[in-house]
Amino acid sequence: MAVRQQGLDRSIGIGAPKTGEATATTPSPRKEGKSTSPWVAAALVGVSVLFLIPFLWLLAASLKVRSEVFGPELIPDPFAWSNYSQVWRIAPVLRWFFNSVLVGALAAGSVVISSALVAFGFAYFRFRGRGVLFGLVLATMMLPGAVTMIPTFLIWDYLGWTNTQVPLWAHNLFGSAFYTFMLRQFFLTIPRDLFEAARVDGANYLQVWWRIAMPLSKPALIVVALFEFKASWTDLLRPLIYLSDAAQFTLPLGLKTLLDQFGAHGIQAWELVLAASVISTIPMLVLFFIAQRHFVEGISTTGIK
Amino acid sequence: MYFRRRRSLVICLLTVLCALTIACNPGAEDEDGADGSQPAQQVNPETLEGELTVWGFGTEDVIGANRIEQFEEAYPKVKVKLTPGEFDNQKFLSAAASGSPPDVIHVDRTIVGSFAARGALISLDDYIDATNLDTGIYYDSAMEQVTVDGSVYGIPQFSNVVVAILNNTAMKEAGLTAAEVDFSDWEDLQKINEQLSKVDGDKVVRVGFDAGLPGFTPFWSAANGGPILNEDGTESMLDSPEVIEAVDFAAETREPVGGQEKYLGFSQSWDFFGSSNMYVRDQIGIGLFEQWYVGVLGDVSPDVDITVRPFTTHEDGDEISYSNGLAWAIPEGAGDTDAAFEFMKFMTDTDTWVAAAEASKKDIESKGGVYTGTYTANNEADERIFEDVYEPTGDKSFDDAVKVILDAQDAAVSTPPSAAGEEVMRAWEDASNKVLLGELSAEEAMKEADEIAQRALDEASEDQG
Amino acid sequence: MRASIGGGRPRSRGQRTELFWALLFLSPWLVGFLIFTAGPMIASLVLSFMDYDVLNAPSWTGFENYMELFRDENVMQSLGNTFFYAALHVPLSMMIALGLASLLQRAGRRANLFRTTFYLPSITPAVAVGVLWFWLLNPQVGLVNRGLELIGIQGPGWTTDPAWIKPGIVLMSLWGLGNTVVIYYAALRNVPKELHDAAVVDGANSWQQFRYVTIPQISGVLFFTLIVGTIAALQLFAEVYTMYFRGQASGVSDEARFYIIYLFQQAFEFFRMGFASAMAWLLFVIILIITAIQIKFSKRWVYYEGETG
Repeated sequence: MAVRQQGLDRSIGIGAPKTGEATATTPSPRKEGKSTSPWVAAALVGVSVLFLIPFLWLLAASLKVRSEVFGPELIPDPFAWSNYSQVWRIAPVLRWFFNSVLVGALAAGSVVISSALVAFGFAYFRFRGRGVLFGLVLATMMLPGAVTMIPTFLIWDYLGWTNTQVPLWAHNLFGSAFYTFMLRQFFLTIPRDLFEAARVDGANYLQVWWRIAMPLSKPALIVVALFEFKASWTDLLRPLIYLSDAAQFTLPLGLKTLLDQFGAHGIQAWELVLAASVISTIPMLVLFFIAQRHFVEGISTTGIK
Repeated sequence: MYFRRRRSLVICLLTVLCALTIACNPGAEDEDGADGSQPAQQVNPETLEGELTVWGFGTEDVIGANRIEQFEEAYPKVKVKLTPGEFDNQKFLSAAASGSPPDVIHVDRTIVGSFAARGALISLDDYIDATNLDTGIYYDSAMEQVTVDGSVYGIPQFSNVVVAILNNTAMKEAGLTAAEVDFSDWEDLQKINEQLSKVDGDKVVRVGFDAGLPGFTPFWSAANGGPILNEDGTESMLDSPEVIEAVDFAAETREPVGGQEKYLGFSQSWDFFGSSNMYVRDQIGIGLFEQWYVGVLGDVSPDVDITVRPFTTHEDGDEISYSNGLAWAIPEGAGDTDAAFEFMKFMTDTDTWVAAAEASKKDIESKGGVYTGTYTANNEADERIFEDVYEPTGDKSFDDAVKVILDAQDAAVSTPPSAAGEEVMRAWEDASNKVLLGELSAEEAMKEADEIAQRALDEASEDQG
Repeated sequence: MRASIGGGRPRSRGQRTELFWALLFLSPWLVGFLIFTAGPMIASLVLSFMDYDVLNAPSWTGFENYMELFRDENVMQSLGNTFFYAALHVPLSMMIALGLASLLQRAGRRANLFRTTFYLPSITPAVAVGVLWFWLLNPQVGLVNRGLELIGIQGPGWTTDPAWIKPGIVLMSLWGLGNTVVIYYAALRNVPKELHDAAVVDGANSWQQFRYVTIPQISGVLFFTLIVGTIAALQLFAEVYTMYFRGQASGVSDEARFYIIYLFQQAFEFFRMGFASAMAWLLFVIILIITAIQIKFSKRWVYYEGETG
């Protein structure tokens, strides 16, 4: 048994990195001002256009009058700005927006802390059964959620939390397999010497985690927070199952409701559905734009000394 | 050592949790007596109290919003909580499994059949008796779809029926008149289809006749005298010669434009809901659609030149249509069944519908639009709406359509309810696709579909036991 | 040497303390697993041996559901569709994402803007993505084929020709690889510049630097995206369901019916939760095997800091 476990350990590379002469890793910040080669610039612009066009179409369609929405023109004629004010009137968009922000913040905040704790546990400590446990973490990702959905619902119902927003984020308090795996990979790239040095200085493991591992992984942590915020921001299934009161809805559920009411199966007001889609995308876009600066800067300010 | 002990603890905990999850199962606690309270005899709307959770219904249009307002006025002490958006099976099954379903659901009638056959809905018979509700006011085809083993499980809300919409511009160009199209003569229909179809090299320019497959497979079967299920919804008849012949012909109508792939590439590009829809752009000759599409055309392209005609049976040329639509129902385990039934009755009542139609007309006219009518599943309401509320628009295309649509409601048939309605639907849908794409002959495909459907029906009837 | 790794070397004190600390760190996950994950997983395993329509009590049927897996042609066909998709999507998305991430790495000042552009599709709600792409991929008027026409290629029937449905879906999926780009980008920023400088001194060209410095340095992250990317690809659902299965009749259901879509239909449309559970556990075993193989081969190319001096 033990042999097999160790076998798994080694093969997933769980084995703790050797503490010997790790390369001195000082990722000196790249010079941001370095001029970009014309080839790179052309490639970037080309790819960007490919990525932008579908979104531009969405944006354009959301500004068209109803009868033209699916027309081929990329520029609306006339501009139907009223689509947006109409969405604002027919649906509590602002309410949904704040619900989404709240749920997203709680989801992201809790998942970062809990997953980082668990990931550090897997990356740093060596104990028997670690391979099996980590295998179990991975295994929880492998069973399609559709068949565990109802039993999970029954648990939340038993706890009395259905029809509240708690089930939308509280599972994140217990870490997520995806982020635990991801952060473990990042923690494993930190030379073990740094942790051992802190231990010699008298820090306990929690302090090692909080003062060494966490600051050094700031970019990865920001990525995790960002991903989870986004996942929560676009999650439809959980709100759909757990919420019934429109005042508690998050944006994706609100959007789905609008799609049902005003889309193909409803009264065919596609322009409103598309406008609502754009409205729900923009805040995420802004957030990403801000967050990415941080995870880039994060690297240059936390250089390992 | 430490770990071994821990491991057994873990296994122990898991077993407990697992047992707990299964034990929470609803079926287990499915005692009949629980909500066997007798329906109240005469309900006084003024004093009836209650709180209703309604899933699958929203107030996005005046027709919906106005009736909710009317209900709240008439039943001041009943609080209605709507969860808008389409009814969702996942959401409902989760709630039902936890023993707290909503009080009223607004769902497709196919689902009413499945749920009723599985014991997930309460029978409305006692309530209908107690309140003297005359179910004769609803269209027969709609009522049949919510009646399982002689008991009523749902109250029909809307009824969508199939009609033929002819593009007069294309007809004229081909030297045809709307009146001379005989839908019972399939050979002739195919000739007209060829005349109306237009292809430019590799590209389709106009579809001559759109049979609406795979969605309308049951309709075509009915028009050929062969229903897809027997009357009590236990036997699949998808492999009957009538069904096979119908699917075979309907699929053949794609040939003049070069087959299904060409057709799809073309029809997916239609501006279906827009002002440059396929009738405006002359991209279709004759198409089969549900009647609401006439309303869409009236909204987005009031000047379009069309004729709406009834479809007819293959054998003797009688008018025939096919009905689909939504209904109200009360789930087993619902809290306030008296108020729930009152709600369903009120929402589909003739007077309620007429008042809502008036409100809708007023709303549309205040915005400078033209009211094209409201079609419900209530026969009496439809008659009154089109006599008292509706005013002819002066446009022949749409004024003439009204009578055709109302007649189609009377001539409509529907697929009987069954415990496996959705699976049967996927079976004939897949089979029709295979025929359309030329992967299988109609006979092979429908035989296959019949086997799948029959197995699903048998399995579902075992579930009930 | 490997001998120094893991629990091999006895520790005088602290082995117990360390175990205590390890459990403390793992405790959030352990608690969550016991409360929210293990129960439902076992419940679904038990239900896979039962006939269960959710509305009525389950009844025991033994291996009936598992036998049905091999009788039902749709199961195997949908599995084939899913493999086809995963086999195309996973390597393509990794290569393209890595390409884009290295482009970004060299983008200089404008990187901010481009990063946001690449990430944009990932933020677009899945409901909108399905609707959007159904239109973009339209063979006659869709932007994709109109673009191809500009460079003189007659585009295929992405949404109509059975042979092109799945490639169309892959195309759509590649549009949303922003997450992977971000992960790679973060990993690339972590590669010490000294290593590149040293390689340059040794006369390595850019490809050699990439191949022998960058790839090994980010191999841990590549490994991560390979594993989770495969798992996610085998469970693709939302966008394809919106495109081809919401409501009635898309006309091409056979080709676009992916495994999870069929599972979903069985569970929630056909009320066969027992069978759906059996399907889920079959997929679980398949993914487990694939992951195990990937892990086994990863030894050869995954590199962790400090393991090779």
